[in-house]
Amino acid sequence: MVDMTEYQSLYMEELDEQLQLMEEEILRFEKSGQSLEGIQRLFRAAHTLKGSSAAMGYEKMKQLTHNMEHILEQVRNSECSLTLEMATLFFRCVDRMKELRSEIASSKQEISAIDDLIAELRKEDWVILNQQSEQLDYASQLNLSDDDWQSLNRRVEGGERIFWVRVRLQDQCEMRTARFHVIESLLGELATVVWSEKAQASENEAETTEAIANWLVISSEQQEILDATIKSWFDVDTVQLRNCSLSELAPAAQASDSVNYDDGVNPVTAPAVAHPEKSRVQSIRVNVDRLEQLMNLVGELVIDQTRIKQMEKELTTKFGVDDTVQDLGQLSDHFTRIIGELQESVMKVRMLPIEQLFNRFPRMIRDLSQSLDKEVELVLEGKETELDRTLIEEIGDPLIHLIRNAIDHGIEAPSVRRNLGKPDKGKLLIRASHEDNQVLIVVEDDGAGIDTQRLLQKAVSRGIITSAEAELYSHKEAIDLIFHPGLSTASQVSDVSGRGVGMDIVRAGIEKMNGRIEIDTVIGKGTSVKIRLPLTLAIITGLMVKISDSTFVIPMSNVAEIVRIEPEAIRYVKGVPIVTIRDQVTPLVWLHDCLGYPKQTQGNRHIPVVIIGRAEKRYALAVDELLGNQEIVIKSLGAFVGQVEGVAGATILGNGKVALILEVGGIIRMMGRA
Amino acid sequence: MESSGQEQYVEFSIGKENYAILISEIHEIIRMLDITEIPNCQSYVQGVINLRGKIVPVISIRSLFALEGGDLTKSTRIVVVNHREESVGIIVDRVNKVTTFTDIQPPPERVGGINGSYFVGIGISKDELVGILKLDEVLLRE
Repeated sequence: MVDMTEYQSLYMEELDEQLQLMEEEILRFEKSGQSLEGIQRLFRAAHTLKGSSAAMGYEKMKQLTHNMEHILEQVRNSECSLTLEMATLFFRCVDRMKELRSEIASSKQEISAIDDLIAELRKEDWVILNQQSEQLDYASQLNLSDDDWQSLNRRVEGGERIFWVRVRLQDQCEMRTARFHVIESLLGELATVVWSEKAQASENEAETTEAIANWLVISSEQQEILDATIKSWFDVDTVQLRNCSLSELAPAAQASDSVNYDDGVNPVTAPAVAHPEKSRVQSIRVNVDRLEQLMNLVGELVIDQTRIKQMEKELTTKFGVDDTVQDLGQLSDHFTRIIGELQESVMKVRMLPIEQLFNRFPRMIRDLSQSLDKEVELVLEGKETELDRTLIEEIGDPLIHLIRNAIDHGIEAPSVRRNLGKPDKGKLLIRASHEDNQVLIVVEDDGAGIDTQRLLQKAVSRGIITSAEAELYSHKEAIDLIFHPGLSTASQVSDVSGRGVGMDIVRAGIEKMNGRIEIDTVIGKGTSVKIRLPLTLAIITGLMVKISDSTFVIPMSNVAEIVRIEPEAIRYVKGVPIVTIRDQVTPLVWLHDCLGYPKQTQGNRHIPVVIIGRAEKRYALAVDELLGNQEIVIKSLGAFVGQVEGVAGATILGNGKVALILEVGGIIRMMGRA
Repeated sequence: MESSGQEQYVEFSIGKENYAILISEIHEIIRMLDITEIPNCQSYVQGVINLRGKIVPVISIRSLFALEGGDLTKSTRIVVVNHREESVGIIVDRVNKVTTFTDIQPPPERVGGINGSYFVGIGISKDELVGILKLDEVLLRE
């Protein structure tokens, strides 16, 4: 038996890709109508899937894609046109295929039934016969460069005319490709060929080559003369000429989309030559596991390198100025640089454009806004922003949650919006960009905003804060209440959001990635959520601190400030230790207490305190000693240990020891309980 | 499974008790390393070690079985086993030998005060009785 497991994973990858592509195309169609290229791409996706599904023996996949392909072929051949109902049907097909996909992934079997869809796909009554099926019009396939367009304009002004030319060869003609080349060169003597669409010289057998070719030419000759001349050429069966106006070509000149050389008639036999520009992209597909391994190896190099640095230091103190030690120093410097570059390159390899994630949104938002009866215009910006692929995976769920919130709670129903003088369509902006050494993702809507007064009321009524505290809350602090577990402002619980288990989970997810989340809202105007993430999860800068002879790492991204305070500066309010730093009252906690170490008696020495910031709130963590900052490689504690409150992971220090990385969110939660 | 006389086991001691683990489940046996404690974790998880750049959790069977003693000696070893595609270290007082059993009896409900479900069976060789650990149960995550 042939081992299919390798093919299986390839097939799954292809499936994901093609389904995504289909979804994009259908969405594009819904939004901006039918285009030949779009249909072409849709057709190709269905065709590809049909082939590979058949090869893998997935009968239902094959049938679905086959029937879709059948319809698309008719559309492509202008026998009917795509309708919105059809698009919805296609969506349902894609959804069903996704279901099948997860069934295949889990059990290698197709379970879901597809008969209902097949029946609908086979229904013929949506086939609207297109009257102008024989029209000679390839403008949609054209792509004119600026120069071409300019020169066309000049020549038309100079009295020349543009023609579409279609030539059909006689059936008995052999070597059609060559014949077309001859015709084209003859044509070149009469006119200038702007565009041509003829069978490509390929491995195809002569008899399968199309007998029809099309050209767009510009010529000073009369139409009749052209017609007669072309007809007189050898092997030519019929000639069709049509006058073409400049306005017809204008869209082609503006089209910035990629050139489509596809012959539009027979991609089934000639898909290999469809995209010459694609083959120029020099890329290979690499299994993620291999990248992961590469990253791990680099991580180990980083650890070794810090060890070598440390050993070099020790040797220098031991032997002073010694040639060999100096050599070692140079070597170690070089080593550091190379590893730095290696680390950067490997990190870049792991980076993916966020487009991957963004592409999932249009469909989701379409479905959401339909089910909630709202109109939403989605604007996606910065699709090309790159970030680590693990981050892309992790940020997906929090982002989806924010989007749901924005549509469900943020953007109002069209009638409400009209009364408020806003456009019916709510705007949802999702933007990704690089800022400093971080990735910034913004989710912004122009909806109702967050009612902080209601938030405060709710917090009081649920006993989260007292009404006296509520009065002292600033706008920012009140907004932060939204992150409190068990608070959701939606007065009605819908199936989309509003179960009150929202924003705290979003924040926990983002903090797990060493990121930060910030909310800005103006009531009646909208809400803007900013998420800042590190470029990568794997390597971060950490602040090393010592607590009872153990070293811990606090991610530098959480550290707002480091100060030393005198023991007398600590005051107690209702038994809670606080310090005043820069006129701000900050709760203080001994990390020893959180982590279960005995507090050391420190005499009168100053206490080093790390101030960690979280939105508007600050917390002071008292430690025994500060050891400086360092690049560290984050390693997980593994599934066996699992999640430990207050610990994000571990790293290996220069001396070979393991140090734990603290998770600031968890520490703060523990402080709240203490 | 029972009475498969030819399978090899590694026999080790914790205090006065002898235990064994199937040799195919063992990745390696190393000397004691520095263990970094994990706060707020189950007590039998002693911490993590750096095993050639890999972070490996280490557990104490002594603490799990509530046995006496526990001072580190020269003969203390960490038996690193493969468990669900992860490495886990088990601290033992002494590794004795590689052995085979002439017979393996199903475990009684309690083995010297320890829950019998922690054992695959009791291995019998010559004059010895050795508890064969059931890693799935011993390393069960709560």
